[in-house]
Amino acid sequence: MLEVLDYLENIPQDGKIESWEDPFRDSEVVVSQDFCDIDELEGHSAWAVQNFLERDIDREPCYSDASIEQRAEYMKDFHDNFNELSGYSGNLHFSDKMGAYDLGAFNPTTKRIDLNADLLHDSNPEQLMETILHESRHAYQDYAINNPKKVSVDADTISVWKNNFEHYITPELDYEAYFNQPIEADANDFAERMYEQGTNRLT
Amino acid sequence: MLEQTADKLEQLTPQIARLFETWAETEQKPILEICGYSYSRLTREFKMKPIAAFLALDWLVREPKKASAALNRGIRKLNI
Repeated sequence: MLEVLDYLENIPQDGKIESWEDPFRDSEVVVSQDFCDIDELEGHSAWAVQNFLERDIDREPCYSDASIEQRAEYMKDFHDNFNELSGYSGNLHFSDKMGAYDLGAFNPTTKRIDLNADLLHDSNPEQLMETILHESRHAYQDYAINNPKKVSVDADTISVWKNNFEHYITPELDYEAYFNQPIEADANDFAERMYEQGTNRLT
Repeated sequence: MLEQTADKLEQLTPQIARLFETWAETEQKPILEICGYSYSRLTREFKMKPIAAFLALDWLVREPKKASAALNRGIRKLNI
């Protein structure tokens, strides 16, 4: 079976399948600052969600009525607030070169989060905010792997994360394995919980 | 990864296994659609490799709710 896989993968298909090219691949490497610890990260993240949504009530224009450019600024503001609270200095960029189903990506080399600019057309900011939280969790996993003594994440978890970063399964190769791998399951759980906690705190 | 993929291909549900065998022998693409997802859509919109598309269809057969929810939510990933 193993011998035929390469052959099968190389059978020509209609429509060239191209891997997504990171427009920021050659960008300057950013040195991150210290992250807060994992418990604080949860509190700060939920607060950043709550703070963004509460301020949006009085914002002129509010997110749903804002232009695409204004929404991008609002999202950068949300990310800046997250950075300020968490102590991290990751960068956020919107890309118009991502596939329709690509929402966002974190690059462990540049520490950059890329977001699909098409998401700004949605008048509800939930998907973008969850994507920022998801990719920021990858940034935290990366920080924990590289700074195990500065976080209270247990050694076994860091070992699993490190192994997964080194043997990452892309959705183009096996979507089920991509979705269920430890760092993606953790980032999905984190983003969903933080957004839910943030919205539940709204008065 | 390659060994895991081989294992998964050997354990495909009968319905998908038949389509996979046909594709491997004749390059005929399956027309099957599950929960709104077809081989063509998975390779075109999700940029899946052919074998990955068969694995995704198999997941849709085995766990339609979880698989379709995972596909519907879109891709958030590491850019390595």
